[in-house]
Amino acid sequence: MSTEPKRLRLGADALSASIASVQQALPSAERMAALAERLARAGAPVDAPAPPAPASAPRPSLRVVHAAKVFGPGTLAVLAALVFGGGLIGAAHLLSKPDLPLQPPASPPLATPTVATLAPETSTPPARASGDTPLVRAPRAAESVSVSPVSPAPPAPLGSAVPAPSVEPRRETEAATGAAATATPLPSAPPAMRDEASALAPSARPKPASGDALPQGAPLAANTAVVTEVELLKQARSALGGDPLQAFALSERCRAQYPNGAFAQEREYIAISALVRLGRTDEARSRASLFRMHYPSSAYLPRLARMLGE
Amino acid sequence: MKVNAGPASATEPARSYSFTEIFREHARYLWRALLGLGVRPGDVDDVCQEVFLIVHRRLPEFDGRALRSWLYAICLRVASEYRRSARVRREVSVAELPEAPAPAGQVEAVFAGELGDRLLSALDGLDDEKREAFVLYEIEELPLREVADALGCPLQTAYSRLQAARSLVRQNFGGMAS
Repeated sequence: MSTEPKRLRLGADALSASIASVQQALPSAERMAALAERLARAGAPVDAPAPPAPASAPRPSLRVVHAAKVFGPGTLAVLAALVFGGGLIGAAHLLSKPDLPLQPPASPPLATPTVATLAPETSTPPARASGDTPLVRAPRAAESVSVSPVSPAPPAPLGSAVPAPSVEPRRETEAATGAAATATPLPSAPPAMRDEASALAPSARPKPASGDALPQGAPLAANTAVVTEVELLKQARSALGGDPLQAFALSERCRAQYPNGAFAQEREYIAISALVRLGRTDEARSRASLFRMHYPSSAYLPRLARMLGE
Repeated sequence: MKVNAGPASATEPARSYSFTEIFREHARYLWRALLGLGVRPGDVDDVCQEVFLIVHRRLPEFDGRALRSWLYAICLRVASEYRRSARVRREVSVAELPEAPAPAGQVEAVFAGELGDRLLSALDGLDDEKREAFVLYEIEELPLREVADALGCPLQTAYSRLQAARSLVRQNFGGMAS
């Protein structure tokens, strides 16, 4: 069977973004060097001279570039993931440093450029988004010029977390987004991309199970809406540390434009965080109650409870 | 460190791998897979070390084909043992989660933010088979054939598990009141 279901990461919803986010969570070079030391002490030395890189093992960045070329919209998920968490990778990097001998990485293949470039950022909230921009700027620019303006997604019926997809084919934007993606090396790509480009051709995709809600018609409008929603939330998140009032205003604007956006949970989380920082605890609490009603099994509930001291 | 080269498979010719090479090429991804497979961030280094000690020990018997499937299969087994041994601990800790910020703080440090957490929470609701299929296909992005090899099941079974896992993940991930 040569058919492979389209990866969820290549979608344009919050689930896609969350997958991309987890994919970014590769350990730092220092962490791997420490692991190598531990292995050596346990009788499994890793420090043999590095063999020349085999020609059959392309760099991860090439794999993802290749894949992104074929599936432009997939870069969207990566972008969204970076918005919400890229900076935390930097934080992880910083956290991993103090207890390690801090030897330079043993070899180039162990280096993690993404982490390394993010590391100089402090872990303060305003730095979160800014550390990511070099990675995501290219595809965003390309998408904004190649995609015709689309009016904000109309309010979807309650219960739908994703803006209603239009029926316009995704193909029109693929060339542009794909071309931009080639200029966007993402070193933390998963290891297996090189094998799928052909197998993942949309036409070869098996009939999805009923639970698979990936929009088949490749929603151009939904993609555009998500980018803009993400853009707003990114700004809101950046403002959270230094200017919570601005963060709240941005999240409210986002709510007005995308009442049932793909990142409604993230938006509400930012809004409640901002209210807490502003000392408007009562408002934060009532907002959190609404959140609980809407998303009774949300992964944010423990965080919200902690934030509100509940 | 050399291994016997068996007959080449259709997709990946048999060849020999050094332990160093495997570590450098794959350790980071196996480490990440362990996170997806439910190993707590604070335990991943330990569990990853265990994986590589097994790799080191068993490399001489490895037939040189389908390296990634072989590595991920080891990963799955070790992670499964970990989950079993940690089950009681985990149940307790999940119940206490709202009042116990420490584990979540580690998740924050390791993972790229809330969306990652949200996905991991959704994965916690899956049984082992579905979780493994989802992690290997959707996070590690192995070809389905390699997923099936790593799971030790027929391709069609891997496909079914993946579809069932996707459906559940969507359900858990949304967290939307119906």
